[in-house]
Amino acid sequence: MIIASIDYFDYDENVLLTKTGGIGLEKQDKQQVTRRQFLVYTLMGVGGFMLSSITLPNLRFAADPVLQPKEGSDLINTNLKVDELTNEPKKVEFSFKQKDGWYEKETTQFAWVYKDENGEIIAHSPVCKHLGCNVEWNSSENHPNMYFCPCHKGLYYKDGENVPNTPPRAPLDRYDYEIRDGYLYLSTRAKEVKG
Amino acid sequence: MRWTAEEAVVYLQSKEYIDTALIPIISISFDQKGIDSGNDNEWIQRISMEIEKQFKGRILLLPPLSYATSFQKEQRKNWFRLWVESLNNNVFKHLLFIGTEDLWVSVAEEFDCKYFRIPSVPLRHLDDPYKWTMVQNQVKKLLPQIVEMWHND
Repeated sequence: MIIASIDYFDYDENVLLTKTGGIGLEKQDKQQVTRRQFLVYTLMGVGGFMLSSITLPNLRFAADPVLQPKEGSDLINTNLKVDELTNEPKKVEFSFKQKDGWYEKETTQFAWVYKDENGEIIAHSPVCKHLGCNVEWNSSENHPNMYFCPCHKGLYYKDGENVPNTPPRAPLDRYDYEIRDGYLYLSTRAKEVKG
Repeated sequence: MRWTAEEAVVYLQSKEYIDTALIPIISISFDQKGIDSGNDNEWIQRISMEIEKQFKGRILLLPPLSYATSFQKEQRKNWFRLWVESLNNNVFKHLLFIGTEDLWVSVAEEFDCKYFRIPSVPLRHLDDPYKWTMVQNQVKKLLPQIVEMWHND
């Protein structure tokens, strides 16, 4: 009887009903999705959708730390060909976007880069280990072939080692580097050299 | 050093090394001149921050000192004198004022301070890399002057 009442609302069935004057067997075979089934499917669909809209973002949040790029590990192209490097330290500028809280800004840094006698590339951070001024290569007449800090006359040898009895207490930091297609890539952060 | 939570502490610990104050002077007005005043504020602050970056260990960059364009000549002088007095030799050996206005040249001279008068540049329609180049060009001219000032100690 339930089936019949469904049929009653169906326009086509209604026409059929008036024609045959009763519920034919062939009509019951055609009836593949009942109202009850339809409602169950709809509820499952909507429920499933709502559930996934809650759980999927949560899964994404949970996985987020794994998907984040490691900070400081990204290397920046300096647009300098490695062939151009000599054993004389060269000032190399490189720019990248730096995040400061929610604010992103373009930052430009530089490095003193040279090849040592073994052909190894050394990329020094210019930041003085005393109080953070920028050091310059070969800028003091009295101290040739050294890094000189104009603030408090700090000195470093070419390999970055601090000269004793000058204010700095540690050697200059070094950037990580990589060579890709002949170009020099530097890390955004310099690392301390353990002396 | 900058006048921030972290660096103010470093400054107080390393006071004997940081003998130079860099002080931006900014005019403020809220009429039509405000357009220039805002522009010069950005311009001077960008330059000062770049100088500070180079000489972090010896320069303390103060927050900009601002004066209203409605100050009269005597008031301006008074205002400047009060600042010089409170920053003077007991705390800093060198006072380095920086701004775009001509009118401070004679005042600074009178109080025996250094004042860098920087020509104003309209920044409004420049994109960032170009602004950066302008700042660098300006800073390049100032750094040797500061080193020389220290050299003459």
